[in-house]
Amino acid sequence: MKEVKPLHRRLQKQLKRSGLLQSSLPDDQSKWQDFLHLIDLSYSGTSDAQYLLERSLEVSSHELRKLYEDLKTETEQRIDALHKSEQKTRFMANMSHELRTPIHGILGSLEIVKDTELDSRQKLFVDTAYASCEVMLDVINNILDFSKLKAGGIELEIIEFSPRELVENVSGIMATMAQDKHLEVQSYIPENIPERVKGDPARLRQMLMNLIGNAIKFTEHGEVYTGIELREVRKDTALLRFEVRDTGIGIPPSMQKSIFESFVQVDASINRRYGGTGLGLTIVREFAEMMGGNIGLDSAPNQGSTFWFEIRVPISTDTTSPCPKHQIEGRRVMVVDDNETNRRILENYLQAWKAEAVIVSNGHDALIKLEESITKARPIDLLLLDWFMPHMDGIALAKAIRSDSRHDRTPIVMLTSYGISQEKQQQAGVQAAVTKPVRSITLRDVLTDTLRRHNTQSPPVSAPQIPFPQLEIKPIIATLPPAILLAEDNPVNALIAVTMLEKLDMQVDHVTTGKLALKAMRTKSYKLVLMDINMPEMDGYTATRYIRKWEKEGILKNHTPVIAMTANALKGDRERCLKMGMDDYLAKPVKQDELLKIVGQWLKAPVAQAPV
Amino acid sequence: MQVILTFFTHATGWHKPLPDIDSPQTLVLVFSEPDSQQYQQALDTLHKKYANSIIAGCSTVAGIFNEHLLESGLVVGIIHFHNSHLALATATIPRLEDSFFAGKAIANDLNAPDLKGIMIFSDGLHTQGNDLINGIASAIDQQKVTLVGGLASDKMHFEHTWVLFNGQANTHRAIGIGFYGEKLVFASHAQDGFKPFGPERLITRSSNNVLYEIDGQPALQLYKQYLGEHANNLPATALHFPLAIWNESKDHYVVRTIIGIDETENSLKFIADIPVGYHTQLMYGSFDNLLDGAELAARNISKKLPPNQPVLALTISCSGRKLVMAHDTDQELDAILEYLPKDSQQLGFYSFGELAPIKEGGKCGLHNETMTLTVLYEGS
Repeated sequence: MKEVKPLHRRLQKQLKRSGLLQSSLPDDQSKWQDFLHLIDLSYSGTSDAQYLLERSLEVSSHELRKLYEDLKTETEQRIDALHKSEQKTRFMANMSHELRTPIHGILGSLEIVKDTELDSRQKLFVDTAYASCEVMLDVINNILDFSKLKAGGIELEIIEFSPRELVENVSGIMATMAQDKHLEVQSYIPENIPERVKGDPARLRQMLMNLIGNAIKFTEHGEVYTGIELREVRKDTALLRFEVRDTGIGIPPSMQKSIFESFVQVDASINRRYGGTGLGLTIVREFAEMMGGNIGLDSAPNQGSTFWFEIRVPISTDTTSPCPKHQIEGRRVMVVDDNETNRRILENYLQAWKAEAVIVSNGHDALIKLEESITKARPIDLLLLDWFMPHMDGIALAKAIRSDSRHDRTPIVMLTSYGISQEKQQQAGVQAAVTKPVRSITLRDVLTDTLRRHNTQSPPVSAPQIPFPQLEIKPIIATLPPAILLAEDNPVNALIAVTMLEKLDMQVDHVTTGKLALKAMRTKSYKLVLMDINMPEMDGYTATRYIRKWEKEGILKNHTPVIAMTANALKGDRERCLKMGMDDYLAKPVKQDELLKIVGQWLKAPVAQAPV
Repeated sequence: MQVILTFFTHATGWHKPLPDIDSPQTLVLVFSEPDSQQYQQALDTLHKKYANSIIAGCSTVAGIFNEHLLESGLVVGIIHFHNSHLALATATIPRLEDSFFAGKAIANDLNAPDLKGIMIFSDGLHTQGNDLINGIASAIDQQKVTLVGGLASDKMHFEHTWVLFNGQANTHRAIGIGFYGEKLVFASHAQDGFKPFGPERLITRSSNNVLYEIDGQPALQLYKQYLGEHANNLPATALHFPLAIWNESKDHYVVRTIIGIDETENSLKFIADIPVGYHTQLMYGSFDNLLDGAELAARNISKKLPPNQPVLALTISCSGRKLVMAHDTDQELDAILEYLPKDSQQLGFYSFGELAPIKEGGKCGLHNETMTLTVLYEGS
């Protein structure tokens, strides 16, 4: 007999229930019918189950799909919110730039004036102005740093500096501030303090300014003493203790712990009487902790207070060059800055250090000068770039320079208003950064340090000469991007609009009157104009009328879309704008997504671009 | 223990003559077609003949007489215990919320040191089954006393169910029989055979026996999505697709049968309460699975029986199973008897809710779509 494969367990059971055998045909037909009935029940049960499982899978996959969609939407919303907060940070950076630029101008100018012949009366006023400016800057720094501390966005710099110069300098400034009160502001720096250490001199300066400023504020008679002490030397590091002692009102013991918390002052009446932001000590503590140090306070009411902090810093081993000026002397340093005052100040510094200054005002000229430095075999030793510049900012310029391998070894130092992360520095090929306003000592320290680290004594003459130098000009033309013209007289509105438009990665030229808008239109082709209505000299309606007229007469080659931006959000405004020849309308306050949406729509119209 | 099973129909009269074994140690169990009036005479006969015995029972869609179903008539079991004794307790359930106290009162009446088991019958439409169980459980130690029973059913009209008390059909009432005696063995096993499938979902809104929302979605809508074309024949098809309600540790579930839907409320109506905060899963039953479930129950329980010990199997199975298995329902009865020792007998009914331990030797739970098997015998 043929070998029979064992049947499915259920089938075996069904055979048994029907009284049948696997190996033989049924003798009774009713048994066979019973069997078929059971099989049929199994089949229908199985197919029902299969149907249900398929349904279940379908329901589940439908739900998964919905979950995916929801997650996607939520993620997009979160990213959008993130962009908004990034925008806030950018706005802070822009504001910071706006605040620091004039201070930079004042400080730099005063420094230059200080070095000229002055009688004692003039010198007193200049010193007072300089010190006041320093204090103002300190307040701004405190506020900006405090907001950055909360966001965890502060990175310490590590550069070589002289602690002696630092303390002397701060103490000198603060002495000027204490003149009114007839306080003695003294400092003592022992001989054993290392000449050069590494750390963040700008932050240390801010800490000392805060402590000394407080001491002066809360002291009516006596003295404010600033000291520095070498506590310990271990291997190549020194433990430095900075101390500020006063003979003021002192701090009751119960308040000594909480005094470092933000916005806490000894009592509310103190604030009324002495003023202040209440941020200074928090920042001192935060910075001290970031530097791996300690902070402390000894005080007795009506006898005075001593604030101190201790930090461990690496001692600079290069003690053979006590005079850092030697590093800069005779070097060719190119300065790229759009601000004339800045250029003059930087040139003045470089001349004082006997360096050869090559000064240009924009990235385009900088690239040309760099090219010349190779063709004329007069290499540039270091580049000092401003970050915030129109057309091509410092980062873009640095990237353009780094894209040419012949300039690989030329160090770049970036001037910033808001700090720049190490990561971004590396990406752009920047070796060091200096925060504005630049003090001569700090700048000198950074330049010296950078030149020493990136030794470019021997210029890379091995690089082959390019036979057709005009080829090098090409990328500069190509980088002229399509631009938007923004006519807006209110600086805050303009700043907001420019910040919002950054997302487009397009150049935005900003003018403040209708007349200037027309002037800009005649010198350059724009893809789009954002036009405020109420502006001095010439309003937006008139400017638009002229634009349309010139287009008709062929003075302007292309039709340029003009979008009105107005706070007159009244009914009929839109109609009026369109009637005046404008293409679209945005009501203020302008929202970013609206702005980008409308601008995006009008940019879609193809406009001829400069040939590449 | 002497067991005589018989049935009464108008066509056949008494299938077997009623034995003369009236005594306080005699139990007469009666499972009747819901329309009791046509059997009042037969019921009166029983009441007179077994005046000293304990008589209890309820209405049902179908009585169980060995491997047969009886849909029109009375199924009667007369059981005389040699060494064990019995007691009867009852309580009314005027409102659903009185179920707990009814259970407690019955348990208090029956409780005694040698109490082995309680068998409960209750009005299937006016009893909050879980409360009834909790009421009983509050008064007895379930480690010592096995609790079984069922809720009376009707012909799937959900209109009129009753329990037999004092020779009469009583609504709004529960009755309990206490079993006492050293030698009495009282073992129970529950097995559904339905299979949970699909994702587990959270019951987010319900009230008593009405389920409104699962995972925050309207319950009926979700249920219909799963059923697909089967949804066209709701609520009838709902009996084929009950829900599993998982316990917190997710090792056991009870089955809940849907007996109605409300399109305007988008809700599902169940025969027992639906608790919020528990996880639920849709289930399907096929003939094969249900049959396997019944077989498994019988096989498990027979493993614990001494060989060649005939037993009385009191089988309480769900009316929903009868609906799924239809004309082949007797196959589950057949399967049970096949696994029990030779000469065993089977008596029982199809119910609107089964009361039996959720796991063996554990606490009693209210089941749907489940076959509960309780075996009784007096050991030597």
